[in-house]
Amino acid sequence: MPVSGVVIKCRPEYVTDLSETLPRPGEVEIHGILPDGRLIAVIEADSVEGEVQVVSRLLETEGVIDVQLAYHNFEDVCESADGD
Amino acid sequence: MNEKMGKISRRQFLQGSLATPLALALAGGMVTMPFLRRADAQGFYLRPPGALDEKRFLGACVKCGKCAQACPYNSVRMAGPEAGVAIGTPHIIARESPCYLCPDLPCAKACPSGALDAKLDDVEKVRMGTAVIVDRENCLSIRGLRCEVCYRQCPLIDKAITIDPRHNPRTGVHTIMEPVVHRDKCVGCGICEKSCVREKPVIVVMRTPPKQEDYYEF
Amino acid sequence: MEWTRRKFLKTTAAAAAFAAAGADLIKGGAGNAEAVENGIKWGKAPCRFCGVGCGVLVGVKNNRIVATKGDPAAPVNKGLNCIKGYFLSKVLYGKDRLTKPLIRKGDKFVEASWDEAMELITSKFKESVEKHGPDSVAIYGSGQWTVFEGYAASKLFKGGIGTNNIEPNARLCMASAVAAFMNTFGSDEPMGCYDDLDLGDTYFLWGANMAEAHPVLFSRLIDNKLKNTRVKIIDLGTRFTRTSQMADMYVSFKPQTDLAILNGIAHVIVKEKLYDEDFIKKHVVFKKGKENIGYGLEEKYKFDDEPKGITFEEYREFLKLYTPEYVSKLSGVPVKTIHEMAHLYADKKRKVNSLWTMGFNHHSRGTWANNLVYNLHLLTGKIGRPGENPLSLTGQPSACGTAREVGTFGHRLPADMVVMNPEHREKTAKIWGVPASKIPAKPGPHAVEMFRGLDRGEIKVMWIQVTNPFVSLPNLTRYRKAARKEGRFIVVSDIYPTRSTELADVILPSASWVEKEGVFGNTERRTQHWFKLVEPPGEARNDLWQTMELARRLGHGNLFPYKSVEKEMWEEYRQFTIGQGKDLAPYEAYHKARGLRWPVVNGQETLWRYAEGHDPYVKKGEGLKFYKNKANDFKAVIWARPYEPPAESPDREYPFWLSTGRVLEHWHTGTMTGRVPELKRAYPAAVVEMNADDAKRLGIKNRDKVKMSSRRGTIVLPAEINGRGKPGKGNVFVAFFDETKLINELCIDAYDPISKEPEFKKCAVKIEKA
Repeated sequence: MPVSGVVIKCRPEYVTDLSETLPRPGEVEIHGILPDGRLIAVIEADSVEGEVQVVSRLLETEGVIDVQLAYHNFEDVCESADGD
Repeated sequence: MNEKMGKISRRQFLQGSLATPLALALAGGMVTMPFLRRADAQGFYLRPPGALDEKRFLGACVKCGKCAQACPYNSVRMAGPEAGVAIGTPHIIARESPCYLCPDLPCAKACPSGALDAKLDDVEKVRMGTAVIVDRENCLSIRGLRCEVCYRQCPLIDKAITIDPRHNPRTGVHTIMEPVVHRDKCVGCGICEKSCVREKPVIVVMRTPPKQEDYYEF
Repeated sequence: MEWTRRKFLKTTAAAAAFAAAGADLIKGGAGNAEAVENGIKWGKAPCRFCGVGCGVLVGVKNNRIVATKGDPAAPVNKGLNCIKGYFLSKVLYGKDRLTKPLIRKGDKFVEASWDEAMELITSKFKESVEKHGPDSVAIYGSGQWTVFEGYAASKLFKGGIGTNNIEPNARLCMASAVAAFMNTFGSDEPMGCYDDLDLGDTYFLWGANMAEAHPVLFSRLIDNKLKNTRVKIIDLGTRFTRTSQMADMYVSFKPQTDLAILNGIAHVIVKEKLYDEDFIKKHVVFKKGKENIGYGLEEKYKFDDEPKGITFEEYREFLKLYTPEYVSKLSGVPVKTIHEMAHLYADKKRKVNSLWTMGFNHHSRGTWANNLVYNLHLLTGKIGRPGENPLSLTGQPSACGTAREVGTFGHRLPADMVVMNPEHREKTAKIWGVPASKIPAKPGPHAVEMFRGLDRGEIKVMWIQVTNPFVSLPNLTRYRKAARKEGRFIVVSDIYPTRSTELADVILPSASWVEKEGVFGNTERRTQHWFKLVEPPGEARNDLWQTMELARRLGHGNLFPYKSVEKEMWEEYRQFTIGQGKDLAPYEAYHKARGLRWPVVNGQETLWRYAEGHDPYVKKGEGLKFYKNKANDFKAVIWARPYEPPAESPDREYPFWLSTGRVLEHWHTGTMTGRVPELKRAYPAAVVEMNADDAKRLGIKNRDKVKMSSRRGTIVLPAEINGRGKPGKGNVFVAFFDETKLINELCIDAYDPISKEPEFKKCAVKIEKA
């Protein structure tokens, strides 16, 4: 299962709301709120495609300006591909 | 000897006799401040332009001080007792006042003994020593800052010192502009040593290492 | 196991995201003015020197700056600095720092209290205004003024005293760039930003010695070249510099003929139909203005351009003269090179940028030169897109942020407004809380005219802040004498004794840089804030306080009713910018951010102005819109501007061109860098750079003393041959940092009639062996 660390840039007036509404178990965890209105989040999904869907959902959420990928781990995806 | 030189010699004499045991000075050309070198650890003295090799120079020099008198920048000074057998011979402390490479080389012309080559007529042919970056980790240019003062002050800019630009992986978007000395061109004037902005110059003039021949053409 | 591993991965992911956001630095203290480490408290500030705007961290212990270092979190420099920035911690601690107000008594200065000094100044201002009217007093400031200092000066003089007699030294530096931004795009300051240095592949440098004048930016440009073999740097100039050395192509030309070369390139682009027809139809109009516009050498010279719309056909006709052959003859640039440059500019596969500085701006046709380079980008459509833009580089830390954005010129008001426009005066007066009638509609004199006015006697009282005009003005002897004429009263605020303070009647000791709170704005529209980190020495005080104190004593204290001065003044000033495409953020937004590039809308900075997807003022589907140019139907202007010769060219008697400029080790008139022993050691004194052939012909050898004279003055300097700068044949160059060698005494005070910026790069001199 791939895991990614992302920085979510939000409109300042939405930050507090988003930090409560964005998290979903097994999909999005919020790890921090920066003073300049950015959220630090970890996203996970069953597949890389699944992650892309999560990021797309984040991007479509009102108040989100941008999602930047900072870290991406998909080691088990590779492992299972090799195993097959 | 003019008055100014007299004073300098006296000061050097005092420093030499009080601060340094003579034995040590004889053994290694001991210096009072590490970055105002009279001689380096190998006993290298920066001699005026056109000097014979050190051994022959010491034999030829009559210690008359005419070269020092001829120097318009007071860069050529006479060595004090700390110099041991070289006492009274002319030398240059680059960090205080380097050789500014007068196009007509008045110091060499003034030499009556042949210790300095009076026929020398091209400053680019002078070989006093070679500048070396002795402390890369303290060199601001090598750390990526835009310094390169030694390069821009070099009278043989783009010949004796060139800039070797390379990517700075730490910032990802800047260039490290490293000054590189080329010993075929460096005359050893010491202007780089004088102008280095660090407290202890990271570029200093040293004895030119002998060339080791092989057959590669690069 | 699986669970722990996942937890570990998630922690790593979160940590990486924090790091990517620069958050560890923000939390860890680099961004926080309160962070303490080894007893050293670190705070952030932009560098005090040039217009690049590098971020630095300032270490303070026991109310003294004990260290500075490049700020790793600053996007401009990522922890790097040039050698001037490296020594910032020493700049404020020269032994002769001014710490007490001084009043002239005959040939001497005596210490005085602030009350005495301010009372004397106030009485002189009052007396002069009462006897001779408000236009008999003036303030001459700086692109080193903080936003607050500039704003307060403008508000006091324009809105309180009721005179437009306010000018910044930026008139000597950026005025031509400003004039061209206004008449081409309808709004000052660049569309692009420093990211273009990473993203483009073709860079034309016009009269810009970036290697020495914009050191950290140059290092960024060269890195692009190292990464990408496609990158081509073309350096055009009259002097072979360290920039030329690292360029792919050096194009040497005769002084002033840049105008012809620019038209020659346009000629080839138009003749060979290399232009972007679609872009031109959508975004461009054509105009021409007056020709034979003079040089401003006459007293009170008046000039107004008369723009007339023309067609593309007429522009094509205008360009016919500038065949590569004709241009080559005029400029000395080979015909082939002109073709080559035109094809580089027009190559659809190339992302082309033009960068320029004082080569264009210190030019008696500076506005034209700026116009002509925009023409090339507008013909080829290479503008307003990431990686391809024209970028006018600035030389002072807040030439943009203060002088231009606050509008501290005789004709300007904040955010692109001008005093000549009644609506602009109305809006300004409303925000300032003064009657609109208070702000005069007549523009104040531009810098050169202001000092001529001082000489002629129209201006009797002048306050000079944060600048050193009696070194930096052209034709210096005249203006130095003017300052000491009977009936003039000169106040100079500075941190050190300078060649300007020596001519003052009152010297006020100022606080500098992090001895006060401030905001600067750099070349790329980046607004940067810093807090006060140390107390100024002795009785030295902030220029902002000085100006407000004069206001209070003159009875204009109501203009500055703030409790929390900087914050409230910022929010007041910010009102000018909102909705104008120049939007600044709330004050707090700048406290931690390493600067934000305006317009800042909803907390988002703008990297590329006028570009859809980047600039919030451009709607979806508009692509590119010059939305500030309402007068021209939101289009940019291609100007038909001819070649005209400079005010003074070499002749038999004075056969050399003299150009002046800067070196990396020193900044401007050297009052700060000259106090740093290491920088003094690195470059101790001015020299005259000569061409090797010229020197040989005159029998001048390296380091020989030469006597150089123009029609205005004489100077003796050692010659430097084949050093860091190699002027073309018939050219010489002198840096102006050395206060013991006033090279500007030789410079002509001709100026560009449109921008009123003087010609520091060209005058005629003769050279003899001294």
